[in-house]
Amino acid sequence: MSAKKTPKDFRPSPKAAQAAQELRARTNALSDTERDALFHRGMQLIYGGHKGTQAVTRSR
Amino acid sequence: MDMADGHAPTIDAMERCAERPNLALVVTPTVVHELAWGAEHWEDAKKKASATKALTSLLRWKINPLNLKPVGHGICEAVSVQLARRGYLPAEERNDAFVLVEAALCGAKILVTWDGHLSGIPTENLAALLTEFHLAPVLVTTPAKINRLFR
Repeated sequence: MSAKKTPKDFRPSPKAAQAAQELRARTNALSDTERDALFHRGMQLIYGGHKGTQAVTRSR
Repeated sequence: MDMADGHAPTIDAMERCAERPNLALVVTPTVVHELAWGAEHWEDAKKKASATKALTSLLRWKINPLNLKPVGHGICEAVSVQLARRGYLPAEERNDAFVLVEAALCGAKILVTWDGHLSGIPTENLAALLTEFHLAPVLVTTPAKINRLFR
């Protein structure tokens, strides 16, 4: 992470906001199976392909 | 995505949270699967690179992914339906609802987001709905508010 900076503004990044909105719009209607598959792919990317199933599982 | 794109206010907010010994930064399953979709399927090369960078940088940013036990996904569905029925979130914003309920199920106290749908839900109404489902209230706030609060 970079060194702490003084915030120059308090607005969201328009580019990132648009990208996040697009991402959400394109994934809202996915099936549970598709969501699960993507979650595991995401975990592989986070852990470099080694710990795809080792996310901490929480419940109440 | 904001952090991957180097958005200073968002990075500042996350750094301020990470510095607090009593706070742990996490992302919920829906955030992970959204970013994974972007990393795998986005046609726009820059956006695809941002989504990939966000996922591959999470641990370096001291943000940990969480999963839910299977029953948690069912609770997410039930609460998200109520969020839409009561007009707190548009019905089509299914993932917004999931992120919110996943945060509550994970025991998160604060959900930090720039999302206007989520940050626009009246705090008291949200707390009342979550309490109905025996979930602890979650404070939805923006990185900007975190920067002001943790100055």
